[in-house]
Amino acid sequence: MVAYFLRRFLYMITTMIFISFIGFFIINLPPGSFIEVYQAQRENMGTRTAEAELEALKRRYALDQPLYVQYWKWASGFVRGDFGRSFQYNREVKDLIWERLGFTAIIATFTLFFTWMVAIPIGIYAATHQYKIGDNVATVVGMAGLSIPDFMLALVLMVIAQRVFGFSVGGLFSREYIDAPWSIAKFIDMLKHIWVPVFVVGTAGTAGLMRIMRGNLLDILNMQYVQAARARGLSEPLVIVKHAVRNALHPLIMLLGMSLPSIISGSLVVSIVLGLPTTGPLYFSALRQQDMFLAGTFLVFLAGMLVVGNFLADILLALVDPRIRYE
Amino acid sequence: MADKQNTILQVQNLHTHFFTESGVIRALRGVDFSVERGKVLGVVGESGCGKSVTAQCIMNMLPGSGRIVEGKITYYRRDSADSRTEAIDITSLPPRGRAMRAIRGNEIAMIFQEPMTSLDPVYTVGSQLMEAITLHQTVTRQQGKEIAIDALAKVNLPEPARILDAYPHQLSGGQRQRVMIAIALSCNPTLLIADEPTTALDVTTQAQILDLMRALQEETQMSIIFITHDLGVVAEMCDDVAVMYLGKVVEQTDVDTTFHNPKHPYTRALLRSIPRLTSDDKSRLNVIKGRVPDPSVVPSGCAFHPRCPEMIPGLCETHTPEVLTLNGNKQQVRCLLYDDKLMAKSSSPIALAEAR
Repeated sequence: MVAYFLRRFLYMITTMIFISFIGFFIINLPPGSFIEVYQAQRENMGTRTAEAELEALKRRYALDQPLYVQYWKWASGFVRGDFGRSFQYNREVKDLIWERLGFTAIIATFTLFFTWMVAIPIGIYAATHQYKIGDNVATVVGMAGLSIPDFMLALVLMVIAQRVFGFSVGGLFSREYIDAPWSIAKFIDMLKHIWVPVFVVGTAGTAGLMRIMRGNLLDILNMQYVQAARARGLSEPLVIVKHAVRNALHPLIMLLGMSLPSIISGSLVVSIVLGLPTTGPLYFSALRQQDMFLAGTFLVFLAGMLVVGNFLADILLALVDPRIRYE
Repeated sequence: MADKQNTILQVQNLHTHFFTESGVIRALRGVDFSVERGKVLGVVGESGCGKSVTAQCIMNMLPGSGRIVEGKITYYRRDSADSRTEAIDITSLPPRGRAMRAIRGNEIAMIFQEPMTSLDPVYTVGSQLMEAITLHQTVTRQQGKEIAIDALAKVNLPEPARILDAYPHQLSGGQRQRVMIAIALSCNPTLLIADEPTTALDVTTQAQILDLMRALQEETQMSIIFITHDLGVVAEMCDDVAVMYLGKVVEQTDVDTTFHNPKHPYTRALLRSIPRLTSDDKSRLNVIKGRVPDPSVVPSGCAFHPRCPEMIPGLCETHTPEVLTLNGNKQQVRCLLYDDKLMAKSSSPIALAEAR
């Protein structure tokens, strides 16, 4: 088990290093050095950049030195928590993203919980009542959830909330709390707003997850060990929960690992429609404006989350399934 | 054939249908047989004749779309204190109810065909064994563990204490089947249903498992329903034999009569198709022509008539044979050839064919 853990950890580190190569390559793809872009932007706005400032930037990012030195400067910055500078906002990337990352993580975690708490029980019910009314209803509702676009659902919810209940659901806070320091009242206000994105983003995920759970469980229910457990005289709920569901969770754990990046990327379209202070819109504009360090940071973070998610999934799988532990 | 005192299980006129989207499949079309106390009954037949469905009916755990539509399965529970027997109609018990679950795994246990997949891969052998023990017996954890180790030792597994902590994937197929037998026997069942327990094993392991089962049967005096398609296994293991064809038992008798004086043409054909070492020439292996028909389109009359070498045209495809008792109550056959009244009407098969 320890060896397994260490090996997975080494894989993770190696993958991260490769990702940083690719990330660096991608942010260097746009033509011209970013100093020139920066300069041009400033000139467009009518300000001239002092030679001294340009020199300082050049030194900071080692632009006058070979590529590998530049890479090293950039990559080692990540370890120190220095992600470079956003030229679009003229601020340090780290100051820009932390708060948004926090909100995105909160929304995504709520969504993940919502998805699992709703999808798994319904999936189990649907599988154990295959082709009965409940299963068919779940299938129809699930399909509808899958096929209605996020932003559409978001818009409809906003309209309903506004017209019927008379309150605005855009954003994550009411106006008076946006700049207020954290308090219980602010937290409650957040809860009042957060259900909309959680519901909107969660619906599609719930439908998919439910179908996967149902399919897996149907396969497992046909396995002989489930029959054998029944033949031992176990009660049906115990057979389902102890022997069938535990084996059916297997692929879902893998899926959980894969969905970790969404914790920081968030759902872009929904965030834009609902005006949420998440990372999605920021990432989107960074890509459009060639804000390389901001975009690069997101790129590496997203890939990193995927790798970490897979690492965690591997560990979880090993805990759930002894066959993996002894591979 | 068996008086009620000695019968442990009686299946009467059992009809089981599967209601699928593509229509009703009549898997069992009137199965009759009985199992004697302390005896081994072999249930033989080709794939698809309903052997496993019969086992599932007895355990009262048919899969989703299956229903028992007619017939009765009676389990005779004997009270060890005053040796009175109590008849329990299994077909009337709700499959998931408490009464059925108290029988399942406790009084009637079952082992399966695929030892590789009949243990849950994510739990240790011990945990699955203890599951059965603690469910049916009121024991402490420590006592349960002792019973478990004992059960594993009984099936000749080396180092039972170590096997207890092993996961299924760490054991071989033969070892897993031994574990399954240990689980099945841990609660001292009076009836064991073995659904082709050796089919998936290699020949050496197969022989070992059969020896083990035979020895355990003699020791515990439990009854066994041994489902197989291997007549060699039948000869070795069984006291009585029920031959099934397309959801019906076509012949039931004791094992000697089955092999030396079979009546039903199907039983005879099965016996002829066993390869023999004594046939020195290069003669071809006898086979039964055709194949088992799809259970959704059962032939009329006697279901075996399209493949029967002794089929009487004009009779076998129109008359459904009833159970006939021959040989002084020893042998039960479903075949028109032994229906004296019907045969008397037509003095000879040829005459009947000509009269038509």
